Formats: sequence, structure tokens, C-alpha cells
Amino acid sequence: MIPIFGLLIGIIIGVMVKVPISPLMGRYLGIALLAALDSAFGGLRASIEKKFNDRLFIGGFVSNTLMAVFIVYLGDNLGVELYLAAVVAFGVRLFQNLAIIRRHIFQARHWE
Amino acid sequence: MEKISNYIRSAFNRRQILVGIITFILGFGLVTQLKVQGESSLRLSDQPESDLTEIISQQSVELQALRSESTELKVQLVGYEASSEGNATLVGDAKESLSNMRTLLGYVAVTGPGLDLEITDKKGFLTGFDIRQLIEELRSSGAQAISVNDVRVVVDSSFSRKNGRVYIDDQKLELPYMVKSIGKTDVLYQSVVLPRGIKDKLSAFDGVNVNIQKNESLYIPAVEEGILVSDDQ
Repeated sequence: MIPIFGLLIGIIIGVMVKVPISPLMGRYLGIALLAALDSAFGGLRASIEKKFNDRLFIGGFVSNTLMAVFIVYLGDNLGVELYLAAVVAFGVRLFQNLAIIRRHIFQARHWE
Repeated sequence: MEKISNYIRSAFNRRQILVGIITFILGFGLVTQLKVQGESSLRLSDQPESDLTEIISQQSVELQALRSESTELKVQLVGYEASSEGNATLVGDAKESLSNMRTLLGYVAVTGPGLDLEITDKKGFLTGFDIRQLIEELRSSGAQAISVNDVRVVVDSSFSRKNGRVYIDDQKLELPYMVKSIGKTDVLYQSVVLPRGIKDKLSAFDGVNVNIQKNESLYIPAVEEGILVSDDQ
């Protein structure tokens, strides 16, 4: 319940509060968000599998986000579009997690 | 009750709150990013170089088109201005000549400077011919409008003599004859008082006296309605 409330409150505050973010920072924020989304879906999957570990989840969330931002920063400095690697990696994982969550839901409801 | 309090306690445990905070951050970040992206897609400085090149070439093509259109429109405008000026001149000329015609035809009353002649004829020597000569003299000196005893003299006015009296368009003229003419006062005056001119000619008759006065503001009425045969206006 609390995670859903947190999400809703975050969205509401985000809509109401205008945060000045430069386009460059926007790029970093995008990658960080992708990493965060990946962690969130990973956590959802783990909780469905009854393997959810809060420390693992929070640690993964923070480290994934920071690593993603760092990779983009490194790529920008090296002149290599490294952020694509982060996008692909997190994107693939996101879809994998989604697929697994879907399977779990289907199994739980005996639709499969 | 116990179930609910257990639920609340489990819902508010540390793990749940931490996850809630993380999802809060996630939601906030998502919305912020969406807003930033919505704004920045409009900003040129955030566009990639290739897009910028394309935008610039598009803009220059558009600029060319607009420039040529503006030139065309300018040419059109000049054309219209010229033609409207031409029209205005034509209309102005037409109006002026129309009003001149109306004045000459006596359709409009005229006020202006001119000569006021008072001709006394104690013995009744003067004929319509003499009056006509005077009027022709005034006309050839540029009189715009002439009246005799407040009867407008126009193109088809005629003078006649019956029983020793002068008639204009079958209207009897009472003595003295009051001849008014509007035009350039000095020119009219000179033409009348010219040596051996019309004044001398008329004054030669016994009992005839011509009294000339310059008047700054004469009024000459329009042709009387009854006299007009047809008025196309």
C-alpha cells in the first residue's frame, strides 16, 4: 500500500512543483529514471516471488541509479555514447522483469 | 480489530516505508522528466546538430519564399496604389468638370466675388440685344454665373423685346436692370469699362446710365424650376 501511495504522492508533487532542470541534467535524470524503473520492477518481481529483500532492493535502486548516471557521464567525457549501453541494458531487464511478473500473475490466477 | 491493527502495523513497517520513499522518488522523477522533456523538445539548443542543419535549411527556404512573396505583394501594392491614384484623379476631374458644367448650366446657385451692374434706362432705348451684348462680354471675360434681375442667365436664355420692354425667357424685366456676374472681379470690371467697350456703348444711349460696383460676395440663384425643360440630374 505504502509504495503505491508513495508513487501517487510523488506524481502529484511532481506535477505541482516545478523543478528547474537543465536539458543536460534532464538526460542524466532520464537514465537514472530508467535504472530506477528497472529496480522497481525487479522489486515487484521479487515480492511476487516472495524473495523481496528490502536492503537488496534499496541498495540496487541506489547503485543502479548512480551507476547509470556515471555511465552517461563517462560516455559524455569519452565521446562514446555509452548511455546507449545503459538504455539497452536497463531496457532489456525491464522487459524481462515485466515478462516474469506477467507469468507469475498468470500462474497465480491459473490462466496458464 | 486485531486483524486491522496487524495490517496497519505490517503496512507501516520499515521496509514498506523505505519502498514507499523509493516509489515516491520514482514518481516524482518520472513526472519531472516528462515535464522537462516536454519543454526541451521545443528548445533549439537541445536539438541534435543534424536536425539543426535541416531546420536551418528549411527556414532559409521558407525565408526565400516569404521574401519573394513580399516582393510580389509590394509590386502589387504599387500597382494598386497607382491605379487608385489614377482613379482618384479621374473621379476628381470628372467631379470638377461636372460641377463646372452644373454651374454653367445654372443648376446650382453660386456665391462669390463679382460685378454688380445697375443699368438705368429712363427712355426705354435698350433692347434685348443690348443686354445680350453685355452678357456676352461678361461671359467672354470668364464670368461663371450671370443673372439679370435675379434671373439666372444660362446657355439657352433668350432676350426679347415686346412693347418697349425687355423680356428674358418670357419674363418681363423691370427697370433698372440689375446684372450680376460672378468671376474674376478685376477682369470683369476691365472688360466692362474698356474704352469704347460695352459700358461706353450702353451709356451712349440717351437716359442710360451704367453703375458698376465690385462686390466681394454676390449670390446668383439657380435656374428656376419652371424654366428648366428637363433636368437629367
